[in-house]
Amino acid sequence: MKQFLRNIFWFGLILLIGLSIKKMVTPFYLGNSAFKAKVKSFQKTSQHYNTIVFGSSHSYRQFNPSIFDSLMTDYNLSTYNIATAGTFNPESYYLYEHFLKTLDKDAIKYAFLELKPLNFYDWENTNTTRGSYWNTTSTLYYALNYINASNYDKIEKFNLTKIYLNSFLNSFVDTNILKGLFLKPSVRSKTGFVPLDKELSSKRRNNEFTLRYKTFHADTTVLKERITAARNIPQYYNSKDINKVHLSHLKYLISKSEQKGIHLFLLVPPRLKDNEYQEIIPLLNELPKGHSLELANYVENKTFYKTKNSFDIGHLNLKGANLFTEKCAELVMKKLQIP
Amino acid sequence: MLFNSLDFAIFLPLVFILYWFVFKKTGLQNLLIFAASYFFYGWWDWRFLSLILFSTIIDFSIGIALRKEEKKKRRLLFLWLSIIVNLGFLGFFKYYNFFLDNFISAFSIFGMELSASSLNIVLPVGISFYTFQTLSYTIDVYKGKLEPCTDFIAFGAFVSFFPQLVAGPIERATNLLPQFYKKRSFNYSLAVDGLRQILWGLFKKVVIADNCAEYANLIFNNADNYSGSTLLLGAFFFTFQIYGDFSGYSDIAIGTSRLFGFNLMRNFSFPYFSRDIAEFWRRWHISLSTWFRDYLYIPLGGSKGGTPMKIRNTFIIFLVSGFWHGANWTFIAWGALNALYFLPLLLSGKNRQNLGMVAEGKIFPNPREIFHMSSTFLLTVLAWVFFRASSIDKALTYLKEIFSTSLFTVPEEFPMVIISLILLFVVVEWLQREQQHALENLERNHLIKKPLRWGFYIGIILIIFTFGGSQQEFIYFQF
Repeated sequence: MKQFLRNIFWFGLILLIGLSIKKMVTPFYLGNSAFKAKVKSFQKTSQHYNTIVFGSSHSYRQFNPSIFDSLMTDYNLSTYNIATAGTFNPESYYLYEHFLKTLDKDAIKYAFLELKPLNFYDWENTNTTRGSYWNTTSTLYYALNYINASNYDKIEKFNLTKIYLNSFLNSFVDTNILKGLFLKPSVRSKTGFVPLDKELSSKRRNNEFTLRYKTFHADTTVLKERITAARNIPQYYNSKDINKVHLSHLKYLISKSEQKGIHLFLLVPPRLKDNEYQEIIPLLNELPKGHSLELANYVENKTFYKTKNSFDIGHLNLKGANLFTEKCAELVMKKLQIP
Repeated sequence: MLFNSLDFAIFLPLVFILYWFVFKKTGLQNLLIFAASYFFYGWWDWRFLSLILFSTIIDFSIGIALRKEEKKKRRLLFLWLSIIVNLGFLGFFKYYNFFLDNFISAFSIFGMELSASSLNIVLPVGISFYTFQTLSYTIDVYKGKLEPCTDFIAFGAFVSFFPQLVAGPIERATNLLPQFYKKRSFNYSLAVDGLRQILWGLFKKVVIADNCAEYANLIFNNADNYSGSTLLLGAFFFTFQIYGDFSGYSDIAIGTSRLFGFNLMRNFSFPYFSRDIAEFWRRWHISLSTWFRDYLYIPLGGSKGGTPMKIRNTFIIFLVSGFWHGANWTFIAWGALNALYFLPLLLSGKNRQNLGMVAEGKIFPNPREIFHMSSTFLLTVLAWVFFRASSIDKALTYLKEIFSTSLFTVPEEFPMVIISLILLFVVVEWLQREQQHALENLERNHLIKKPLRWGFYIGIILIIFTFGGSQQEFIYFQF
């Protein structure tokens, strides 16, 4: 038995070392092919850009760099939208933090990062490369502390803990990620922005986007739920229910950005769910005023909740995206005047 | 709990440690296996634990009763009681809706419209396997081949033994039950070989079966859109899917049992290297084929009678075997087709001409062997179409398209990576075909030193991690 256990131990150790090396040497973005394509494209022409946008489809599909740059002429900005679909907290925070490390000081002036609560991944997704590649020991530490500091009920906490642990284990054993080394995905736009409308005419995954579009426009009453959520935002500003782990992580990202000479904006996009606003809006009171951009409340942003500006329940169409970008530029200019 | 899941990766080492370091006495080890097996099964659906427990109590009690009873009629009564209870459960859960639907259809042919609604019955995982295992116990006790078990815990552990509970091998009480009575001591070689077999089983399941499943599903589900060549490729994928899935499960089950000091019977013996259908059936799902042979074919008279009796018995055993796999006419058609393949060999007395392994002691087979292996393989591929198709009509349409001119066109789907993995798999199995499993006895080859061996194992693990298809349930769970 001793010999058996000894062999198991040594074999396991060798395997563990091998897998750890794999995890250490793989590029930080390997696992998100869309991000890889964008980051490669950005690196090729990085000297052109001084502003960068991170986040999920709420930024990828709604932040139009051309519009933004044209409105910010006084600041001489050149923006690249590096956001990719389905990239939420903590994946987006992980990507941003690691991306910072690749930059020279003062190479970028401004960065936008979507503010989102910790993502509830489906269990099945945690066994995939995309659902786990970002789960390093420090991301896991952040996620578990976040869960612990949250006001989720016990069952939610237990399930989330299981999800993040499983994802972490998968990130270790997942060698499927190495296939990404041989993939050469191409970018679809110079600025990184692709409005959802474009997908309706595109053959790629056409059915899914068309279905989403048609379903929403056949019954737009579902938007009421998001309008109610946007209307609730003012009351969430008064909430003291703050996830301290999330807050300190955001402050950490702001300070890391400053070290690279970057002013980080934390962006709250429109059309999120009520529970998401409930969780992130209170944080804005505690964050430095010049770093938060809230473009979600209904009173000031009615236009983002109109059907004519919508693609589906959660996203704006091209017209809405341009309006969103304009509003964003307006708010940024205001914020930059804050000392 | 799936073998290829994180749950099982935690469960197995825990039970292993408790088994060898905490519960050292045979009785306590049996108790642990009993409890762990119920936990393993309950992880899937705890409600059906009562079914196994009931079946265990019935067969245990009948065994005791048979020991005390000497009157032939009463003994036969007890035997029938066990058969009725066990097959009753199986019949209800697995075949109720099938019979109901077919009765209604049959009556409607004569213009009689019957109305009855199907029940929404959930099929308990592995019911076909443990039902046959407990039945073998009662029949063997009745026949006097086995002493009835008087230790309920040992008997319960035998019925529910978790490595083979849900997808076999269907163990004979005469082989497995006595192992629960004996003191078991840790056997290094057995355990290491068990681990190797588990590793190969995982490779078969996760790399071969799950990847083939993606293409087999794609092609079978959209058969109307594909050419004959693609459909033939789809049938090939299913052929490897079902083999990788089922023999992979058996390998993991046998390997896991070895870690606990148990020896289960072999269930697959490289069936796709068979030279005729009779050999194929001696190498495919051995535990089921021999079960039917011993408890159905031989009692019916086997091949001893005249030609009509031989034909009848052959058809009975193949049709029942098909029906055992599922309540659908497609399985019965699959069984019938195999009977048709087998009969010419039986009637010409050539059914036992290929008893050994093909090209024994050689690396390459001769042209004659290649021809026989290829033709047998092709026959099984075509038969699997019935097994996989959702209806006989669809199977016939699928086959018709294969045998059309579109067979000679370039396939629309041709996943090179998966085809390369299948080729690698076939080469390893071919080289190791004279062993019990593909990774057996690697350390006996003096050319393969430890670092090379470990490198090979790590290579397999990395292939599993890298090329593992999307996790699919074991096909045989549904049987």
